[in-house]
Amino acid sequence: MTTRGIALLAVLAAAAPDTVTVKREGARVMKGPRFFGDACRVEVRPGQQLRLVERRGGWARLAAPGDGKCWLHESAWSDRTAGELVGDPAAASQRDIELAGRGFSEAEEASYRSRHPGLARDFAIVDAYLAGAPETPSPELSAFCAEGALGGAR
Amino acid sequence: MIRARSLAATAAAVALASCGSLRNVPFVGAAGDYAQQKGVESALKVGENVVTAAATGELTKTATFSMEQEFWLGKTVAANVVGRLGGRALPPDHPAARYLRDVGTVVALAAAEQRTPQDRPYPMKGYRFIVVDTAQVNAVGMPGGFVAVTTGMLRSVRSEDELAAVVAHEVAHVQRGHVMFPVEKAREQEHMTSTLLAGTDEVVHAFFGKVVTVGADFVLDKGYGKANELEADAFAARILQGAGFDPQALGRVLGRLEGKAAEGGFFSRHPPAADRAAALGPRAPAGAAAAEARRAARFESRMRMLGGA
Repeated sequence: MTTRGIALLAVLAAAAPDTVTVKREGARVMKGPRFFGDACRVEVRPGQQLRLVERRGGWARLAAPGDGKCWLHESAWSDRTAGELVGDPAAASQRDIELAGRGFSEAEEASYRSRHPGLARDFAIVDAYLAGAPETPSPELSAFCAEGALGGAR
Repeated sequence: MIRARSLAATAAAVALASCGSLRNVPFVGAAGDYAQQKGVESALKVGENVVTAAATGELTKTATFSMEQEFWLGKTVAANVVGRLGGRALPPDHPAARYLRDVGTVVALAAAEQRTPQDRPYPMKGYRFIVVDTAQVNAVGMPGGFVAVTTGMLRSVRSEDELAAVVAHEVAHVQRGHVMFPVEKAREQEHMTSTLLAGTDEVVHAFFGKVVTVGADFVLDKGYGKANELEADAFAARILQGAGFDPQALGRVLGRLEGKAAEGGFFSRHPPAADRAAALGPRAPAGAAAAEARRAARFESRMRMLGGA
């Protein structure tokens, strides 16, 4: 294969459509492949399927939302499969996979709380931070970085 | 084959319910109680699991966890850690808490930009930076992206860069998966019994409770071992450099506060400063002093809102 052919294949591979599913809350959609910079005025939600049109490092440019101008980091969709096994996955049975994830769920937390009423105040603190202290939103973060010469704002 | 398997299952269940020596093994004694309480049908189910697990060699497996599972575990560990640190926290909208959140977010994103395939994925709900109100000088990274920093620590660091350094070290533990090592170990140790006793909710509850206890013990008291601490130092230095903080800030705060080790907490879990100098990375680039001074000034203004000594 010629050098030009290899280059063409590389371009096609880079441009190949690819679909991912958003796994986490609060994922930042940026105007460039960096966390520190301007954010797109769009949101993505857990469970939303996104078509990627370009990958660069750990980032991908989205077909939508954002009309092909917005970027999402792989941390928005990467995850471990529930019950994924270390060692030899080929040897894992369905039962093993089911068992691996047992006991780490919202229902189990509720059960734990009911059996440890003395921790009610401590859980309330954690709940308050979950509800009221998500990571700093991008516009505020940009101002914070600019003021402190952080994140490339130097 | 089915009949033979059922017979074997029955035998295993009876053995579980009646073996006195096994009753002293964690969870197995509970299985005997369970078998007695729930009757033969449930016992057969337990016994069937014994046979199946033994036949398929499942007893040696360990498992990893999805980020959702890590979140639910981490949240309960966080509640335990908050409780063990005294059970008081600044409200999330306190200026000092908002400041920690801002610094922590910069650190977490700089860490994510340097993610490797071996790292844990980003926390499902993002990071939460909790200010626990206690004089103890401590900072704790937990599963699920929960990071607790005490007011004692906030009063001990002298600049935004030092605060970022402490947070970066904890974020490094979270992203590198160190915070899940004790959980994985607990799962490994208990996998046999949990497999044996699949289907019994009481065992699942007991296992979850044990993992929470083990997890809180590790993050608060035991630490992750010298190699992982040094790895977290080295990664923290790269995080700081990537974000624009002084990579040497961690070395400064560790060296200055090393004497706090005797009081427990953050410094008691870590190797001596002399052992970690090599891991702490390059010096800040020339010209960075002015920027650090600006950050130090806003640090001073936010810490004044903390009040107290």
